[in-house]
Amino acid sequence: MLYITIMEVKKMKMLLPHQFKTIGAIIAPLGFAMWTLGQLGYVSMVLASFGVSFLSAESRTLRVSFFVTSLLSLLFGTFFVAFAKEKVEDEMVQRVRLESFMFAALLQIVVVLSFFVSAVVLGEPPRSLMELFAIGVFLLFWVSYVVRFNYTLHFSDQQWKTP
Amino acid sequence: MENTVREKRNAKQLTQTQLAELIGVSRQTIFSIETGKYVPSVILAIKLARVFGEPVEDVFQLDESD
Repeated sequence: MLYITIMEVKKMKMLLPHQFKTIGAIIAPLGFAMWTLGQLGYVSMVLASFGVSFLSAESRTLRVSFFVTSLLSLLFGTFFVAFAKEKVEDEMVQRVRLESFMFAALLQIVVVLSFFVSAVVLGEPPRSLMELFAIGVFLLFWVSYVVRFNYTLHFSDQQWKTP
Repeated sequence: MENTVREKRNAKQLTQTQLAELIGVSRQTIFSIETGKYVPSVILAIKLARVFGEPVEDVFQLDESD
């Protein structure tokens, strides 16, 4: 089963069509913006301007729906960008993809270890920070993979674009 | 590893795009091979050699550091 999975990945059959990259590039930052606005309290302000009390069940439902939508947008958008094929998916792209995964994994390990060392030295952080860290470190892997992959392919060494 | 892909491509009067299409890779890959930034697989090296009509060893050579 594992061998079949590895072979499928090797043949890049587990990648999404290229069009998903554009879709992901739109909904991921949109989700992040929505989540940030929600964290800053703008959702509650907007609801209050429509006469919806912060403490009401209706307000809570709307706020939770807003946060869930924004988080799902960010997650799915990031996954779409990460797993979308390039226009030409050749062996060089596959190697850059693998190297980017390794880079993201190493970066995540360093961040997690640093966090735990700081927790040992400085003491246990507040629960809210732990929750934020858990989400952040998860996203760090995918965001760093996407950034490194796209930077290596499309932005480093622009000479190949000149005819 | 060193290669003479650019010279042989020019001798065949092929653009990078045309060569890329012939062997099924992106133009960026051809550029990366020509500038030594990417070492192709055996399959890709053989495909390139076949396009040029020459042995693989005439297209790709090991250098001192390999």
